[in-house]
Amino acid sequence: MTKLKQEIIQRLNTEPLSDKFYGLSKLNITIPHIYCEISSSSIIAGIKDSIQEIKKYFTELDIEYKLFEVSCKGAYHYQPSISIQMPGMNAISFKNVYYNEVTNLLDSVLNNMLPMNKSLILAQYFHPDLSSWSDVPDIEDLDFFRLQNRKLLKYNGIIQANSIESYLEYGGYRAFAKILNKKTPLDVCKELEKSGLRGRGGGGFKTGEKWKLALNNPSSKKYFICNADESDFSSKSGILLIESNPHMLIEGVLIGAYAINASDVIIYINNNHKLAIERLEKALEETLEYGLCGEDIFKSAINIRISIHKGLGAYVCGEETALISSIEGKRAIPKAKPPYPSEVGLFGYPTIVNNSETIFNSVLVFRDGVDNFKQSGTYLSYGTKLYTINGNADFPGIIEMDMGKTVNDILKIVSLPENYNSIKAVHLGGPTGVFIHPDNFNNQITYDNLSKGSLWFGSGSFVILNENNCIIDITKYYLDFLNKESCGKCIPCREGTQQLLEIIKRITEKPDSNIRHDSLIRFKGLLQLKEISEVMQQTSLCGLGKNAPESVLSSLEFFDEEYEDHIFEKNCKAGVCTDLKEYVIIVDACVGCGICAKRCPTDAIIGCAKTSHFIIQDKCIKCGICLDACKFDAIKVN
Amino acid sequence: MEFEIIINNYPLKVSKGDTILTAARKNGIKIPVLCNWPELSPTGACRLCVVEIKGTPDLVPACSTPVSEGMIIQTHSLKVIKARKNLVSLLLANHPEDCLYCAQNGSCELQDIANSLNIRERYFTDKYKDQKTDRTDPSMILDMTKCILCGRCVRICKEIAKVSALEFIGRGKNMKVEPVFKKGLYYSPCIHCGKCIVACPTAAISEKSVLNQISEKIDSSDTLCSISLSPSTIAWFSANYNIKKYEDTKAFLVAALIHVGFKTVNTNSFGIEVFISEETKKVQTRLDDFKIPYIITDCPAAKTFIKNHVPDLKQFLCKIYTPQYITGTNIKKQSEANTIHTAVAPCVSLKHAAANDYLDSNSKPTCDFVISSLELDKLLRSYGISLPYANKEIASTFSAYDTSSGALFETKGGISETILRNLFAINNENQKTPKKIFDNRSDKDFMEYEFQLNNKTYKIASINGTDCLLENKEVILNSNYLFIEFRSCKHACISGCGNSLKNDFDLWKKLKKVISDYDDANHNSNVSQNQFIKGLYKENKNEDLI
Amino acid sequence: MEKYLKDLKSEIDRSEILPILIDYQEKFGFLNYDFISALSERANLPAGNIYGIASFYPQFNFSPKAKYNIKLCSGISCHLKNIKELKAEIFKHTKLNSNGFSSDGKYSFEFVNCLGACAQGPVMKINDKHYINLTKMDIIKIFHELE
Repeated sequence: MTKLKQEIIQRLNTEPLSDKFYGLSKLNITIPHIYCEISSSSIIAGIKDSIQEIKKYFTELDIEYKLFEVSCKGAYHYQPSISIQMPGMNAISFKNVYYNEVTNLLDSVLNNMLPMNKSLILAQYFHPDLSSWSDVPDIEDLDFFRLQNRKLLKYNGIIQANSIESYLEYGGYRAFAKILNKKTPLDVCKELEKSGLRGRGGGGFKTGEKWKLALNNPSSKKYFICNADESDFSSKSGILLIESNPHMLIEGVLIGAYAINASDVIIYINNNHKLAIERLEKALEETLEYGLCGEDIFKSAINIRISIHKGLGAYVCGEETALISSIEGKRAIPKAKPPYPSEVGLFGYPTIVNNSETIFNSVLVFRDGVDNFKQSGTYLSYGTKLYTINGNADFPGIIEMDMGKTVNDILKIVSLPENYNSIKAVHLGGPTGVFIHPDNFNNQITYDNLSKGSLWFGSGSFVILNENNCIIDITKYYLDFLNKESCGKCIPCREGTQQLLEIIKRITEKPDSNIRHDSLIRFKGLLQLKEISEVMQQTSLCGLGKNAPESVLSSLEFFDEEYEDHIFEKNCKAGVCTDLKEYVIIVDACVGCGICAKRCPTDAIIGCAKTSHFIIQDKCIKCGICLDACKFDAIKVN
Repeated sequence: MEFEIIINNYPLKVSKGDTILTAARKNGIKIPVLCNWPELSPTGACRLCVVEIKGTPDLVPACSTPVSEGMIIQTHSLKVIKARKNLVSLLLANHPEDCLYCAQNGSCELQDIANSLNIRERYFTDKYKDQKTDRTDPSMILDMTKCILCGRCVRICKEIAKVSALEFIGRGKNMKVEPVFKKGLYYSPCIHCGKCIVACPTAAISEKSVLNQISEKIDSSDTLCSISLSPSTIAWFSANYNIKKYEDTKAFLVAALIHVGFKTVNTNSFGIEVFISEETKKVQTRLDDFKIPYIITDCPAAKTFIKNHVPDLKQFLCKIYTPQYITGTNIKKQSEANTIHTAVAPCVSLKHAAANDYLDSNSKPTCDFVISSLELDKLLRSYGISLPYANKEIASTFSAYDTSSGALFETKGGISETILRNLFAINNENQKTPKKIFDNRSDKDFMEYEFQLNNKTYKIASINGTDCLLENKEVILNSNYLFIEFRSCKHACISGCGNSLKNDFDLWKKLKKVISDYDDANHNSNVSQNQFIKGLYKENKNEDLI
Repeated sequence: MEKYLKDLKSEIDRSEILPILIDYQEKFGFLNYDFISALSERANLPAGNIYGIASFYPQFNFSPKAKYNIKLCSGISCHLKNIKELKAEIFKHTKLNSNGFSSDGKYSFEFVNCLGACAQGPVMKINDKHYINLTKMDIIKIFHELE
């Protein structure tokens, strides 16, 4: 064991980082290497079936081969994705390799030919000393990758997540080793402060300053917590990072714990992210084995224990104090600040809580140097940011961009030019985020949402909306989410989200015929939306409540014509708010064939054969099936 | 350390460590609160106490923000008032509109605040909460549609009562306060101390009222109605109707109740004094050997707490019945069979006990009804009676010879004081009787007293509050006290939820004063001077009276 | 449950409660009150506290799910792909009541926040099997097979 540790120390101190790397393309391989991208989303997409098929193929033909599990590139639309390197050739990546494509694909590639199905081909990893595939682009030339600035995602699709060796090969743990040998905790904090790294979780507090506060606290026991809860389900960047590079997170928390003199690190992770937990646990085992964490790391007399705390997602855990309560075994409810966690935190000890993406970035700062880090991004917002692209994107997935890029820059990557004009809005920042009108697509996305004209990224969720999506429906969707996720402690958030939701619901539902002046009441609701939003922003206890009305306010500001349409015309242009409609059978036109009654999913249509039928409005869910089914045009929409 | 801040354009001196709320209160500025409670740490849940601080864009809760030098605070600016108004309107969106029929009508904090903010219409509308009223318990009703989730009850139950019978369930819009496992309060670990009733700003938690049934029984010709008044109830009437002397109030009340229709009116002092005599006898036997702890309590909540929550101490608990039970059984023994007995008590725990524990050998209740001081006041008012009453009457036989020990018993440290009095009398050391043994320490929950009797030194202790008992469990087990007095409330029976629905320190002080004035002026201050009880013992040849 | 309790430590720290509850639900499918009471004794906490923690997370359920537990993803991507119609279709085939259980007790239904395959939506999960790129026809086929 000790011999192993000695060896590691030597490696960490001497081995230089390779300047140029050629992705998966490697010299000196003799048998086919197959690389399968495994992430939680590719598993659902069916990569496991494809792997089984690959294994079957090779055992049947009795060919020697090597199969590696690599991390995911972050491009959802390419999944399931595998890469293959034949001896002497460049590695080549394929997309959408479902299990039924495997045999044909391997048949051709093993004969150094491209598959018949050209749509499977993605790109090759160019290497000057290997022969390349003709008519296959270099992966770095693909727009999807070329237009990004992949720093955190640099090794995605290449690195093996479940192997510490793979991480060490790509320069892992060098930053930590450097710090341990040469820097005091104060140096680390100062350097981080200089880099201008700010929390990626939401608050945007300067990470270096925060660490310094905790470092200056004389308490003998401190905690360093990594928040990897990722309970905003529209943002998956943190989980992708952990799934693809768990060791980098561990290196990051080691640096953080060293910087604040903490002996205990807790990684709080949502139990739903099974793959991430599995890989983190494996990685932790490996680090312990290699002596990178635990007692007396590299004979420096520094002890850092890392433990994984499984929680269940709660959006409110984005608030530090709620997260701490949850770890303490209480209801995850935020506490009044002050005192701040850096003074009185977990079990009463000073505690630092950092988002996982922040921690990944801190590794970059120390691995590549402050200047290098500061090259990307803009003034006061340095570094890169991961965005999770959802909605009507042509290329959904996770992309990495410099801070200060515009919405248009992102759209160029994830949307085809021909679909560009149909984009009605972008919703940025998850449930507490904002709607962005096309007029503002050229505004920079940075921390400083206060300075005029810039946007704030929130959780990094980026949802593209087109003509088929109703802004009010999306607002309702997010409010419903917040209403369920609110912890319920303070009045403005608990009752405010409920009231906002009620008002929006009233706008999207069928007008109550019993109430006169219905439109007026619905219009009054609009005024109330603003009042409630104001009180929520001013008085809520935590960030959830303070930011909850953002969607409502931005939709009111930029898409007021949709509200007017819903309230006065009782019409949803996108056709989403079906509750506004009323399906009625025209008595004279109905012949009583009964087809509509048979097709109705809720049995809302009744009537005897050969007599006119009738729709029970309370049961009707406005699916429109009957409208399509009727051959006699006897159903009309009010 | 003191420094200056500016509140509402006035410079004020405040001390470091104070919150804005306490600083404002000290200077007579009233900031509305719904979740803040003096005994609990601030949580900042209701947000009603928000104030404007110059330089901060958002409003700041006064209850959890400490003052700092040079702060410029506006507690009632338009921005603040508007926010408060909206907050209360949001709360009222799903609050039932039955104020007129509500148990808390007139003393409801939500009503008060809505009124003072001049809210005159239902601004937001929402469905009422869909929650059934919990009527499983014979003494308390949980009507959670009226709950505003301030969390006082949950925190009091957890932090002060140490019972955790109530808990927050669910989250967001589905959050509610409920006894554990949805099974109803009766099946929960509740000890019925009534602290949550006092803390609840609305009528979400309230006492079950039996006034209508009593009125019917009074009117019925088949039954004879008897009533016994708890001394603290008499003190309550003294304090609330500004009658100086305890005896006068007692005489007024007796006369008034006879006019209402009660055939016999006694005070519970009788039961208390029997309790004291019996326990003194017990203590007398311990004078030589007191290694095993002995806990004396008259409080049903305290007994339940020890039985269910601190089983280690169960074996040391006194076995005697509560004074209400003693009074009840003795009155029923000597009255006709159709007697209906009502006890007036300062606390809900007695109500619960009467329904569950106070059963005689035939499983019939000894106290048919238990009502609180507040309810008695309502009963009298419904008969058009207000104190001082035109007539005075002497109480019925059981209470004709009341000593002041009975009244003193219901104050903090009263059990110890009255038992010691009796103990010294029995041992013929009347002159050496210690007086006002805890008076200079009455702000403490745990009090010790050392005294000499027959040239031997003894120690006793008084524990007030269930949390205090848990804290001092080891002390009880390891030190040799002659006996230990224990009650579940920090300010003893006079602070019970039957006396006030608020944490009313002023009222408690007044009650204490009425009782101690009575005790100071009275010659009959020792149980051994009660001729009636003496006679009873003689009749029963010194056997136990219960 | 007794065996599970036997394997647990006799004294449980407060911070371990949530992981234990998660683990228990994974093994047995739901949390029962007896287990919570037993756990509260080990942890030296009132049962109400643990019940309060468990009820904070809607992911915990206190009664068993049906034989086929249907989870329909309601993440933003799936929401935009009109899962309303799919829900109606599922309700039609399984005869679900408004409480999320079918009258024959064979199916239970719930919306979940996100199943994590946003490019392959709409996504449904029945017990442990994922179904991606769902259409109405798929649902008809799936339930035909289950019958």
